[in-house]
Amino acid sequence: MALVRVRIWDWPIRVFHWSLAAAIGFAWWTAETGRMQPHRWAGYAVLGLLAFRLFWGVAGGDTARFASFVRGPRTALAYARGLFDRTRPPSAGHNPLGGWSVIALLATTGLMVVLGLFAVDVDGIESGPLSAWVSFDVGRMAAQGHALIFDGLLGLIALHLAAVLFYLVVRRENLVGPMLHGFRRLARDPGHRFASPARVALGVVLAAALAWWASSGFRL
Amino acid sequence: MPSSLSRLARRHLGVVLPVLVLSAAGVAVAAGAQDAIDARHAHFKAMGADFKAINEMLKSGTATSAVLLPRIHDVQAAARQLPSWFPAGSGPDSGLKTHAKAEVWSDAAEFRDADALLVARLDKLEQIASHGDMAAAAEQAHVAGQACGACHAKFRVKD
Repeated sequence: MALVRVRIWDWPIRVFHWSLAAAIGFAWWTAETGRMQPHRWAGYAVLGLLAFRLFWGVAGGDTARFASFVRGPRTALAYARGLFDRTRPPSAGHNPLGGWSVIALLATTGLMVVLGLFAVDVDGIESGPLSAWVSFDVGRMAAQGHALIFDGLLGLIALHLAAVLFYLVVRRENLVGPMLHGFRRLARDPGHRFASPARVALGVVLAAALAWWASSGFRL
Repeated sequence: MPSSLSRLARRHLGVVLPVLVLSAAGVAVAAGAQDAIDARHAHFKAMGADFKAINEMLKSGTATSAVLLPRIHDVQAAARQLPSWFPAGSGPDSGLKTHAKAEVWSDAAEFRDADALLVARLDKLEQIASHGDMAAAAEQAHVAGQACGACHAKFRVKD
Protein backbone atom coordinates (compact mmCIF):
# COMPACT_ATOMS: atom_id res chain seq x y z
CA MET A 1 0.00 0.00 0.00
CA ALA A 2 1.49 3.29 -1.07
CA LEU A 3 1.63 6.07 1.49
CA VAL A 4 0.40 9.55 0.68
CA ARG A 5 2.33 12.71 1.60
CA VAL A 6 -0.20 14.72 3.61
CA ARG A 7 0.10 18.19 5.13
CA ILE A 8 -0.65 17.89 8.84
CA TRP A 9 0.88 21.06 10.35
CA ASP A 10 0.23 24.47 8.82
CA TRP A 11 2.98 27.10 8.87
CA PRO A 12 1.42 29.17 11.74
CA ILE A 13 1.61 26.12 14.01
CA ARG A 14 5.14 25.34 12.96
CA VAL A 15 6.34 28.92 13.36
CA PHE A 16 4.55 29.08 16.73
CA HIS A 17 6.18 25.86 17.96
CA TRP A 18 9.78 26.81 17.12
CA SER A 19 9.31 30.45 18.15
CA LEU A 20 8.02 29.37 21.56
CA ALA A 21 10.97 27.03 22.04
CA ALA A 22 13.36 29.86 21.12
CA ALA A 23 11.53 32.42 23.32
CA ILE A 24 11.58 30.10 26.35
CA GLY A 25 15.27 29.37 25.79
CA PHE A 26 16.05 33.09 25.50
CA ALA A 27 13.94 33.85 28.59
CA TRP A 28 15.89 31.23 30.52
CA TRP A 29 19.29 32.52 29.41
CA THR A 30 18.47 36.18 30.08
CA ALA A 31 17.21 35.34 33.58
CA GLU A 32 20.31 33.29 34.39
CA THR A 33 22.63 36.08 33.21
CA GLY A 34 20.71 38.93 34.85
CA ARG A 35 19.67 40.59 31.60
CA MET A 36 16.29 41.59 32.93
CA GLN A 37 15.07 43.99 30.23
CA PRO A 38 15.56 41.38 27.45
CA HIS A 39 14.06 38.84 29.87
CA ARG A 40 10.88 40.91 30.03
CA TRP A 41 10.83 41.17 26.22
CA ALA A 42 11.10 37.39 26.04
CA GLY A 43 8.17 37.18 28.46
CA TYR A 44 6.05 39.49 26.29
CA ALA A 45 6.96 37.37 23.26
CA VAL A 46 5.83 34.22 25.10
CA LEU A 47 2.62 35.98 26.13
CA GLY A 48 1.92 36.94 22.52
CA LEU A 49 2.73 33.45 21.24
CA LEU A 50 0.45 31.82 23.81
CA ALA A 51 -2.34 34.26 22.95
CA PHE A 52 -1.93 33.37 19.28
CA ARG A 53 -1.99 29.65 20.11
CA LEU A 54 -5.20 30.01 22.11
CA PHE A 55 -6.80 31.84 19.20
CA TRP A 56 -5.48 29.24 16.76
CA GLY A 57 -6.79 26.48 18.99
CA VAL A 58 -10.34 27.63 18.35
CA ALA A 59 -10.07 29.34 14.97
CA GLY A 60 -7.11 27.72 13.24
CA GLY A 61 -6.59 24.68 11.02
CA ASP A 62 -8.06 21.28 11.94
CA THR A 63 -4.92 19.83 13.55
CA ALA A 64 -4.36 22.91 15.72
CA ARG A 65 -7.84 22.98 17.22
CA PHE A 66 -8.03 21.74 20.80
CA ALA A 67 -11.34 20.03 20.04
CA SER A 68 -9.56 17.83 17.49
CA PHE A 69 -6.90 16.39 19.82
CA VAL A 70 -7.97 16.79 23.45
CA ARG A 71 -9.41 13.42 24.46
CA GLY A 72 -10.72 11.92 27.70
CA PRO A 73 -8.58 9.83 30.07
CA ARG A 74 -9.91 6.51 28.72
CA THR A 75 -8.88 7.35 25.17
CA ALA A 76 -5.50 8.58 26.33
CA LEU A 77 -4.91 5.40 28.37
CA ALA A 78 -6.00 3.17 25.49
CA TYR A 79 -3.57 5.01 23.24
CA ALA A 80 -0.81 4.70 25.87
CA ARG A 81 -1.29 0.94 26.04
CA GLY A 82 -0.47 0.71 22.33
CA LEU A 83 2.72 2.80 22.52
CA PHE A 84 4.99 -0.16 21.84
CA ASP A 85 2.78 -1.46 19.03
CA ARG A 86 4.79 -0.57 15.93
CA THR A 87 2.03 -1.78 13.62
CA ARG A 88 -0.20 1.08 14.75
CA PRO A 89 -0.11 3.77 12.03
CA PRO A 90 1.09 7.30 12.83
CA SER A 91 -1.48 9.90 13.84
CA ALA A 92 -2.74 12.52 11.41
CA GLY A 93 -2.10 15.25 14.00
CA HIS A 94 -1.63 15.21 17.78
CA ASN A 95 -2.33 11.80 19.30
CA PRO A 96 -4.33 11.65 22.58
CA LEU A 97 -1.19 11.58 24.75
CA GLY A 98 0.57 14.25 22.76
CA GLY A 99 -2.58 16.32 23.00
CA TRP A 100 -2.43 16.32 26.79
CA SER A 101 1.25 17.17 26.77
CA VAL A 102 0.41 20.19 24.60
CA ILE A 103 -2.17 21.30 27.17
CA ALA A 104 0.26 20.75 30.05
CA LEU A 105 3.04 22.72 28.34
CA LEU A 106 0.75 25.59 27.35
CA ALA A 107 -0.80 25.80 30.83
CA THR A 108 2.54 25.73 32.62
CA THR A 109 4.06 28.31 30.29
CA GLY A 110 0.96 30.45 30.78
CA LEU A 111 1.31 30.24 34.55
CA MET A 112 4.97 31.28 34.22
CA VAL A 113 3.92 34.38 32.27
CA VAL A 114 1.20 35.36 34.75
CA LEU A 115 3.55 35.03 37.72
CA GLY A 116 6.25 36.95 35.87
CA LEU A 117 3.88 39.86 35.29
CA PHE A 118 3.70 40.45 39.05
CA ALA A 119 7.20 39.34 40.08
CA VAL A 120 9.55 41.56 42.09
CA ASP A 121 13.19 40.68 42.68
CA VAL A 122 14.82 40.55 46.10
CA ASP A 123 15.88 44.22 46.22
CA GLY A 124 12.75 45.69 44.63
CA ILE A 125 14.71 46.89 41.58
CA GLU A 126 13.72 44.61 38.68
CA SER A 127 10.07 43.73 38.40
CA GLY A 128 7.28 42.67 36.07
CA PRO A 129 4.96 45.20 34.38
CA LEU A 130 2.08 44.63 36.80
CA SER A 131 4.16 44.54 39.98
CA ALA A 132 2.91 47.99 40.98
CA TRP A 133 -0.54 46.42 41.41
CA VAL A 134 0.71 44.25 44.31
CA SER A 135 2.74 44.67 47.49
CA PHE A 136 6.44 43.84 47.77
CA ASP A 137 5.62 40.64 49.66
CA VAL A 138 3.12 39.44 47.04
CA GLY A 139 5.56 40.36 44.29
CA ARG A 140 8.24 38.30 46.02
CA MET A 141 5.87 35.33 46.24
CA ALA A 142 5.14 35.70 42.53
CA ALA A 143 8.88 35.74 41.82
CA GLN A 144 9.47 32.63 43.92
CA GLY A 145 6.51 30.87 42.28
CA HIS A 146 7.88 31.91 38.89
CA ALA A 147 11.21 30.26 39.72
CA LEU A 148 9.61 27.14 41.20
CA ILE A 149 7.17 26.56 38.31
CA PHE A 150 10.09 26.87 35.90
CA ASP A 151 11.54 23.66 37.33
CA GLY A 152 8.21 22.01 36.52
CA LEU A 153 8.32 23.44 33.00
CA LEU A 154 11.85 22.11 32.49
CA GLY A 155 10.60 18.68 33.59
CA LEU A 156 7.76 18.83 31.07
CA ILE A 157 10.13 19.94 28.30
CA ALA A 158 12.48 17.06 29.17
CA LEU A 159 9.51 14.69 28.99
CA HIS A 160 8.50 16.17 25.63
CA LEU A 161 12.01 15.64 24.23
CA ALA A 162 12.13 12.12 25.66
CA ALA A 163 8.81 11.35 24.00
CA VAL A 164 10.03 12.64 20.63
CA LEU A 165 13.11 10.46 21.03
CA PHE A 166 10.95 7.48 21.99
CA TYR A 167 8.85 7.89 18.87
CA LEU A 168 11.99 8.14 16.76
CA VAL A 169 13.87 5.18 18.24
CA VAL A 170 11.13 2.77 19.35
CA ARG A 171 8.25 3.55 17.00
CA ARG A 172 10.48 4.61 14.07
CA GLU A 173 8.28 7.71 13.67
CA ASN A 174 10.07 10.98 13.00
CA LEU A 175 8.06 13.75 14.67
CA VAL A 176 10.64 16.50 14.12
CA GLY A 177 10.46 16.43 10.32
CA PRO A 178 6.72 17.08 10.12
CA MET A 179 7.00 19.94 12.65
CA LEU A 180 9.63 21.49 10.35
CA HIS A 181 8.15 20.99 6.87
CA GLY A 182 4.56 20.15 7.81
CA PHE A 183 4.14 16.79 5.99
CA ARG A 184 3.66 13.18 7.09
CA ARG A 185 3.21 10.03 5.03
CA LEU A 186 -0.14 8.45 5.83
CA ALA A 187 -2.21 5.59 4.41
CA ARG A 188 -4.76 8.07 3.17
CA ASP A 189 -5.38 11.81 3.15
CA PRO A 190 -7.68 12.70 6.07
CA GLY A 191 -8.70 15.90 4.28
CA HIS A 192 -7.55 18.45 6.86
CA ARG A 193 -8.79 21.96 6.39
CA PHE A 194 -6.43 24.81 7.06
CA ALA A 195 -7.21 28.42 7.90
CA SER A 196 -6.98 31.38 5.55
CA PRO A 197 -4.14 33.94 5.59
CA ALA A 198 -6.64 36.55 6.74
CA ARG A 199 -7.28 34.55 9.88
CA VAL A 200 -3.55 34.20 10.51
CA ALA A 201 -3.23 37.96 10.21
CA LEU A 202 -6.10 38.49 12.65
CA GLY A 203 -4.48 36.14 15.18
CA VAL A 204 -1.11 37.84 14.85
CA VAL A 205 -2.61 41.31 15.28
CA LEU A 206 -4.63 40.29 18.35
CA ALA A 207 -1.66 38.52 19.93
CA ALA A 208 0.77 41.36 19.26
CA ALA A 209 -1.69 43.92 20.63
CA LEU A 210 -2.13 41.91 23.83
CA ALA A 211 1.62 41.52 24.28
CA TRP A 212 2.22 45.23 23.72
CA TRP A 213 -0.61 46.13 26.11
CA ALA A 214 0.87 43.86 28.80
CA SER A 215 4.27 45.49 28.35
CA SER A 216 2.72 48.88 29.11
CA GLY A 217 1.16 47.54 32.31
CA PHE A 218 -2.29 47.09 30.76
CA ARG A 219 -2.68 50.85 30.83
CA LEU A 220 -6.04 51.94 29.50
CA MET B 1 18.82 4.02 95.57
CA PRO B 2 18.87 7.86 95.92
CA SER B 3 22.22 7.84 97.76
CA SER B 4 23.92 5.82 94.96
CA LEU B 5 22.47 8.22 92.37
CA SER B 6 23.76 11.26 94.26
CA ARG B 7 27.17 9.55 94.56
CA LEU B 8 27.09 8.97 90.77
CA ALA B 9 26.22 12.60 90.12
CA ARG B 10 28.86 13.97 92.48
CA ARG B 11 31.51 11.75 90.93
CA HIS B 12 30.73 13.01 87.41
CA LEU B 13 29.93 16.62 88.40
CA GLY B 14 33.11 17.76 86.67
CA VAL B 15 31.62 16.63 83.38
CA VAL B 16 27.90 17.10 83.94
CA LEU B 17 28.03 20.71 85.10
CA PRO B 18 30.16 22.10 82.23
CA VAL B 19 28.01 20.21 79.68
CA LEU B 20 24.83 21.71 81.14
CA VAL B 21 26.28 25.23 81.24
CA LEU B 22 27.66 24.99 77.67
CA SER B 23 24.36 23.61 76.35
CA ALA B 24 22.45 26.45 77.95
CA ALA B 25 24.95 28.90 76.49
CA GLY B 26 24.66 27.21 73.10
CA VAL B 27 20.87 27.53 73.16
CA ALA B 28 21.21 31.20 74.12
CA VAL B 29 23.69 31.86 71.31
CA ALA B 30 21.51 30.04 68.79
CA ALA B 31 18.48 32.00 69.96
CA GLY B 32 20.45 35.25 69.62
CA ALA B 33 21.63 34.29 66.14
CA GLN B 34 18.09 33.40 65.06
CA ASP B 35 16.88 36.78 66.33
CA ALA B 36 19.60 38.54 64.33
CA ILE B 37 18.71 36.54 61.21
CA ASP B 38 14.98 37.25 61.60
CA ALA B 39 15.60 40.94 62.29
CA ARG B 40 17.81 41.52 59.28
CA HIS B 41 15.42 39.56 57.08
CA ALA B 42 12.66 42.00 58.10
CA HIS B 43 14.98 45.01 57.59
CA PHE B 44 15.94 43.89 54.09
CA LYS B 45 12.31 43.25 53.13
CA ALA B 46 11.45 46.77 54.29
CA MET B 47 14.33 48.12 52.16
CA GLY B 48 13.04 46.14 49.18
CA ALA B 49 9.54 47.53 49.68
CA ASP B 50 10.97 51.07 49.89
CA PHE B 51 12.97 50.61 46.69
CA LYS B 52 9.91 49.19 44.96
CA ALA B 53 7.87 52.23 46.01
CA ILE B 54 10.64 54.66 44.96
CA ASN B 55 10.97 53.03 41.53
CA GLU B 56 7.21 52.98 40.99
CA MET B 57 6.86 56.64 41.91
CA LEU B 58 9.67 57.62 39.55
CA LYS B 59 8.28 55.42 36.75
CA SER B 60 4.79 56.90 37.08
CA GLY B 61 6.11 60.36 36.25
CA THR B 62 4.10 61.87 39.11
CA ALA B 63 6.89 61.73 41.71
CA THR B 64 7.67 64.79 43.80
CA SER B 65 10.43 65.33 46.37
CA ALA B 66 7.77 65.44 49.06
CA VAL B 67 6.67 61.84 48.43
CA LEU B 68 10.10 60.49 47.49
CA LEU B 69 12.26 61.85 50.28
CA PRO B 70 10.62 60.01 53.22
CA ARG B 71 11.19 56.67 51.45
CA ILE B 72 14.73 57.62 50.46
CA HIS B 73 15.51 58.64 54.05
CA ASP B 74 14.23 55.25 55.27
CA VAL B 75 16.53 53.39 52.88
CA GLN B 76 19.47 55.65 53.80
CA ALA B 77 18.98 54.92 57.51
CA ALA B 78 18.73 51.19 56.81
CA ALA B 79 21.85 51.22 54.63
CA ARG B 80 23.83 52.92 57.39
CA GLN B 81 22.69 50.36 59.99
CA LEU B 82 23.19 47.41 57.66
CA PRO B 83 26.61 46.19 58.94
CA SER B 84 25.19 46.02 62.48
CA TRP B 85 22.61 43.49 61.30
CA PHE B 86 25.38 40.90 60.93
CA PRO B 87 26.72 40.16 64.44
CA ALA B 88 29.41 37.49 64.74
CA GLY B 89 27.96 34.00 64.91
CA SER B 90 24.81 34.79 62.94
CA GLY B 91 26.15 33.40 59.67
CA PRO B 92 26.13 29.88 58.21
CA ASP B 93 28.48 28.84 61.07
CA SER B 94 25.49 29.17 63.41
CA GLY B 95 23.98 26.10 61.75
CA LEU B 96 20.79 28.13 61.22
CA LYS B 97 19.15 28.88 57.90
CA THR B 98 20.43 32.18 56.50
CA HIS B 99 21.01 33.73 53.07
CA ALA B 100 24.17 35.39 54.38
CA LYS B 101 27.36 33.84 53.05
CA ALA B 102 30.40 33.25 55.28
CA GLU B 103 32.19 35.92 53.22
CA VAL B 104 30.23 38.62 55.11
CA TRP B 105 32.54 37.89 58.05
CA SER B 106 35.61 36.43 56.34
CA ASP B 107 35.78 39.37 53.86
CA ALA B 108 34.47 41.92 56.33
CA ALA B 109 36.40 44.86 54.82
CA GLU B 110 34.93 44.20 51.38
CA PHE B 111 31.46 43.84 52.92
CA ARG B 112 31.82 47.24 54.60
CA ASP B 113 33.00 48.76 51.30
CA ALA B 114 29.95 47.34 49.49
CA ASP B 115 27.71 48.92 52.11
CA ALA B 116 29.62 52.22 51.89
CA LEU B 117 29.01 52.25 48.13
CA LEU B 118 25.28 51.86 48.69
CA VAL B 119 25.27 54.63 51.31
CA ALA B 120 27.15 56.98 48.95
CA ARG B 121 24.80 56.30 46.02
CA LEU B 122 21.73 56.78 48.22
CA ASP B 123 23.12 60.08 49.53
CA LYS B 124 23.51 61.22 45.92
CA LEU B 125 19.94 60.10 45.19
CA GLU B 126 18.70 62.13 48.15
CA GLN B 127 20.52 65.20 46.87
CA ILE B 128 19.10 64.84 43.34
CA ALA B 129 15.58 64.11 44.55
CA SER B 130 15.51 67.08 46.92
CA HIS B 131 16.40 69.35 43.98
CA GLY B 132 13.39 68.02 42.07
CA ASP B 133 15.13 66.59 38.97
CA MET B 134 13.05 63.45 38.64
CA ALA B 135 14.68 62.20 35.43
CA ALA B 136 18.10 62.32 37.07
CA ALA B 137 16.63 60.78 40.22
CA ALA B 138 15.34 57.82 38.19
CA GLU B 139 18.82 57.29 36.77
CA GLN B 140 20.45 57.52 40.20
CA ALA B 141 17.85 55.16 41.70
CA HIS B 142 18.90 52.62 39.06
CA VAL B 143 22.58 53.17 39.93
CA ALA B 144 21.84 52.78 43.66
CA GLY B 145 19.90 49.60 42.93
CA GLN B 146 22.94 48.18 41.19
CA ALA B 147 24.82 48.49 44.48
CA CYS B 148 22.24 46.13 46.00
CA GLY B 149 22.86 43.61 43.23
CA ALA B 150 26.64 43.89 43.49
CA CYS B 151 26.62 43.17 47.20
CA HIS B 152 24.16 40.29 46.81
CA ALA B 153 26.31 38.72 44.09
CA LYS B 154 29.19 38.33 46.51
CA PHE B 155 27.55 38.07 49.94
CA ARG B 156 24.06 36.58 49.52
CA VAL B 157 23.22 32.97 48.67
CA LYS B 158 21.29 32.87 45.40
CA ASP B 159 17.60 31.97 45.77
